Amino acid sequence: MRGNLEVLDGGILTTIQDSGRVGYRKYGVPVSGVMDDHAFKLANWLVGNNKETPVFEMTLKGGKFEFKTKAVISITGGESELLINGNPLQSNKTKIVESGDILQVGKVKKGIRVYLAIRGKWNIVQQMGSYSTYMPAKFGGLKGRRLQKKDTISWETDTIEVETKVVPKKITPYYSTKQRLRIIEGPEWSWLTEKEQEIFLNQEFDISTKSNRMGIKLEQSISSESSKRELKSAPVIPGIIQLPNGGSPIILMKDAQLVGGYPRIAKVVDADLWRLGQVWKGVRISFNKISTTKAIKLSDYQNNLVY
Amino acid sequence: MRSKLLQINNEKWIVSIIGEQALILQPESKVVPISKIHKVTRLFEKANIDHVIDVVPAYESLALIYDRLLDDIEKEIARINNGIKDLSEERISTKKVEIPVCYDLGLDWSVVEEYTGLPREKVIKKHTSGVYTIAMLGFIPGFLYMSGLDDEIACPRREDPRTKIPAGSVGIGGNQTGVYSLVSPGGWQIIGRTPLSFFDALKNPPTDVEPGDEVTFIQISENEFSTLEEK
Repeated sequence: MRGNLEVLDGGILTTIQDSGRVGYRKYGVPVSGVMDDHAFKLANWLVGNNKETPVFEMTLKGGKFEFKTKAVISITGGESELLINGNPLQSNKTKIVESGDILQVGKVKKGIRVYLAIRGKWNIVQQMGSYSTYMPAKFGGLKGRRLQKKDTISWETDTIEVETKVVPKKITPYYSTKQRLRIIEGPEWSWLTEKEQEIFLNQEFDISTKSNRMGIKLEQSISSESSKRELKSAPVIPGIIQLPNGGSPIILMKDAQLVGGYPRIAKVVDADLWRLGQVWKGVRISFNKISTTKAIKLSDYQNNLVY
Repeated sequence: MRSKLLQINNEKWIVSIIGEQALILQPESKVVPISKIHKVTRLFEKANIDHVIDVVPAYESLALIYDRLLDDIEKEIARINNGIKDLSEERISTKKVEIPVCYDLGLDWSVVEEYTGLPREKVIKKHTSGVYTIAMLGFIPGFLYMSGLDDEIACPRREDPRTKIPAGSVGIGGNQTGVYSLVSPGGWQIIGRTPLSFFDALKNPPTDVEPGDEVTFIQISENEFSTLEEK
């Protein structure tokens, strides 16, 4: 059966995202996709979707949506005030909404991104194999842009009679204002002086408000006056920590370009990358260097946590 | 970083893990023409090795992106070897692409003329007589980085990048020339515009050109530009 909703208020930055776009990097097309993979998987698990189904990713402040039909939904990710027709709604739990229900997602108080999943297959067109919105080139999602008032989304669902699920405590994320992220060495790790490596591994970094879906910019500099070597544009992937000339690291995220000319000093392990989808000014992060073998083990564990 | 050696066509490549699902390959010899990177990129595309979902060329290295964890790099290198061994001698074909450019629509002629010390006509003559190689695509989709620019018309990037450059803009940035297929911010000196687009998100693949293809520019008038743009 068909379901649909209307956007009454798109919030600040609400886009359609899924697990990302692969196979087009050589054409300059970034991966895109959700910034917080963990919350994304939980959202789809709660409504019984497969794990690649698109969701709404709301940033800093949620939106307001009117369901025109019954629907099975879930909200995960950052903590914010959630209301259905003015009554509180619990996150991390399956919810069946009625036709005419209005969902309102408030300002995000912990973390910065909130996810809304809806049971069913969405009636929007995939572009290059993905539903993810990539705003800089205006493609994917809904017309390549953020959701706005009067947009409508429809989907086909098998049933709305589903069992209510709740995210188990041990995999419920907690978005702390202090994050210790595990990293592995990058190709240019050895370009850092011993002093710089020491500072990098012991410093607590503040998050710059210039951070976005392309990258998380850190405030503090780790460089002394050491000479800078030039790198010819080389491949990069999400999680890579670049060191621009100013010495303040940038962690590349989902909309990052495919090649870059700054030294790639380290990489945040994939198993911890979702945490960075929830950081903003006020959160402090630090790094803990581990082996690649350990990083792969962590990924294996994280990948099988929800599904 | 853990790294291993891989032999491709009498050349040793250093293979290292850059991520849980990504490898970087770079030739052991320090100085490499970009054509070698392109050749090996296409070799990998042809080989279609299981679980490799993206092959990304850059200036001195290339990346292989996987859809699974690289828990055994030794085994993976053996798999790569096996995948490419029969292809090594195969000839790699590249396309030749002609790009029409209306140089009257350049935005930075005064800067370019002043920096190069050449009048506009001379710069155009040099730009249209070069044969360029598409080095790679990026920083936004459909941006063509091309090497092969005549040193005499090389120009530094703008100190203050523009926030919006029209689609089709053709520019010079350092010793490279490039085409902006989409409206985007950018810091290159704009010397003209092409009515052609090299990116269409609705097409699959989104562009007809690939890294390694050869490009030449042909001068067109504003009238020809308008006619071609309508097509």
